[in-house]
Amino acid sequence: MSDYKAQQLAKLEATRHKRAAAVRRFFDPGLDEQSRLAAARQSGTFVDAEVPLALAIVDDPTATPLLRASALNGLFNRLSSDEALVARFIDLLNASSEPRELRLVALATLQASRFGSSAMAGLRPKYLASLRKLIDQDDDDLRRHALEYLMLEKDDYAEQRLLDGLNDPAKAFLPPEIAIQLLANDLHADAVPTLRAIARNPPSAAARKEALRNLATDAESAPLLAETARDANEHPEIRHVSAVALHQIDPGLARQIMRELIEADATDHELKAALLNSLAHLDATPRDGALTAKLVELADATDSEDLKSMIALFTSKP
Amino acid sequence: MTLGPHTTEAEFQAWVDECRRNNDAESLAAILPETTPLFRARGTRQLTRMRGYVLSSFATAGLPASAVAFVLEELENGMMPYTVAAAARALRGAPTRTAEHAPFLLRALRNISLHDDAITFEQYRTTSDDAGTTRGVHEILATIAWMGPAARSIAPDLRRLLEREDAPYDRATREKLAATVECIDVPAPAAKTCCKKSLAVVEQPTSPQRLAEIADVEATDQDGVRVTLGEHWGGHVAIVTFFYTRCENPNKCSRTVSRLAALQERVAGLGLEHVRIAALTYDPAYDTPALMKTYGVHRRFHFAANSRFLRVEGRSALERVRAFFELGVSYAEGIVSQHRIELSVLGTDGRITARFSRLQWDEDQVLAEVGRALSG
Repeated sequence: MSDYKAQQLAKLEATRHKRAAAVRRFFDPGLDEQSRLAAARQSGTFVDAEVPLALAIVDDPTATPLLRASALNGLFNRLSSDEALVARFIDLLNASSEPRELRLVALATLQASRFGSSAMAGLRPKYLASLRKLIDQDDDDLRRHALEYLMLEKDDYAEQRLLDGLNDPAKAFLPPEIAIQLLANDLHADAVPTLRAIARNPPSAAARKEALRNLATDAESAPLLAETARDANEHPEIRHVSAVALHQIDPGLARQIMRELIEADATDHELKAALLNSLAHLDATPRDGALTAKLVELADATDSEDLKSMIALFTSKP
Repeated sequence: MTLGPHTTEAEFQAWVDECRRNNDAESLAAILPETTPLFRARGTRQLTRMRGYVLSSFATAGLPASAVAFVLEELENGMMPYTVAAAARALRGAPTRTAEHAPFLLRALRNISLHDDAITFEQYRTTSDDAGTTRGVHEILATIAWMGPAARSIAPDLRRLLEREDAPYDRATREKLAATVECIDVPAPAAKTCCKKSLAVVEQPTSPQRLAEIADVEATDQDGVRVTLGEHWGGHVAIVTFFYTRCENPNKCSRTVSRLAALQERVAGLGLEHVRIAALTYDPAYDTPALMKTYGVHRRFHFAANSRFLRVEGRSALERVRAFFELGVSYAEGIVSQHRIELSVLGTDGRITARFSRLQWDEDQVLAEVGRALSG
């Protein structure tokens, strides 16, 4: 056997011993909780005879929530093929009487096992129904995660609840900008009137920015986006977001506006740098000499290092 | 009650419930076409809820012949567990069990198995309440079991699914699947199975409309070249289909363009280079030439002078094209909210000689119609 192979085998053996010791410490009821939780972090996922021991801790109402959650977390790999265990995790998620630490771990592990778990695939309808129930529960973390995961599935119920919250702040679970970001997982015409309303009459600057960004799906919002991008009274970030969104709908008009803004003396230099960056990466139109000459002048005149480096990047491309 | 764009969802639900109580299936079927005024300016989400609720009603109100194509379309191409399950339920309202429908149920099973969901038909909207909850796959299996021996042709496929350890089914679903196979895998009394037969809807339009009515409509192709529809198609037999690049259903636009590319190869193989092939976008405000080109290239469509993707210029021009081809598409906020699959064959005189809609077209049938147009 080569030295290299022997060294690697020795390392593997040492790791195995280290893990076995950590597992023993985790399952040792005589140790204090901090030691057991520290051991859990070195235990990886439980196998064979460790599984019933971990399940016993999960089911032990006298164990602390963190210890139970650690035991639950260590069962993650079993979710790939153990249908009964997946069902048990879902039941834990549904049980409002269980500690939130336990339910959060159940949620995170179930969500992580969505890919590659045949057992989870079969129980998907039950899992989705559980997520919908979480929206109406009082725990903000569980609710926020549930909304996020449901929107990744383009869920009609979650979408409706988010829209309800945007249209009536009394029904909102989340800040409007976060709700819009979640809706952006599946933007349909149903959301467009709400986004337009927020863009015109925003509850916050962040919400307006998100609304404008996502109106990139709405061809009829091109005039609003063009007007906002050109408006010197708008915040540079809002102008940039509007110009980029417009590029999705009407690349020609967006290119023209971006160029106007880059060439205008009054435009904020950080905005010019951001617009050049967008043009460099979004726009395949060949560079023209007039713009390049203007940019060379601008590079000499500006103190902004960001703008100088963006000009260098932009002019270096064919 | 007159249904229209301003009908609220609550009013719509009440109307459907009334139709259900009166077993008024014909009224329900009459609103299914995409161009029904009720659907105007409604988003995809709302339309999904509405269509699913109507389709599921046929299970009790009875499935009229006029609704069958809509049901089969959903089974063949739908990807949303709610509407697919609704279509499966609808078949159970059919007066007879039709062997040709079985492959559509198998297709539906394949379409939604990996992303099945908990759904309810007891109330109009999805809620977080478990009452009355079913699953898409369970509804499909219930319909296959209802078909009994008429679905025998798909029993071998279902058995193979059952044998696959990685099939995305839990124990309860596997048990239902096994029971379903037992139900259908018995000799049919009168073996009238004919599952090779295409159910594709081929219309021979009798409308006197000619291409001249839209010949002046200006369009831009995938390379940004401007052309009128008359210049592109005039005096030629043409195959025209429709798509849009942000269609999310892989069984619709993406597949349409891939299948058009396959059709293009067969047309070229027959030496019919003079036949014009075009795909028009439903979404010209969004589909730039660059987007159309990328979409086509990635689906192996070969662009050439006789084969182009086109976006018509302006909303009124789009309306004229929509009227000429009688397109099954609806919009909300300028965004396509629903559409069917559609392909038309134009004759040298500019008349539509055949139209394939809703179900996947049959390549041989399309080529036969092209041949007919060339000789006629």
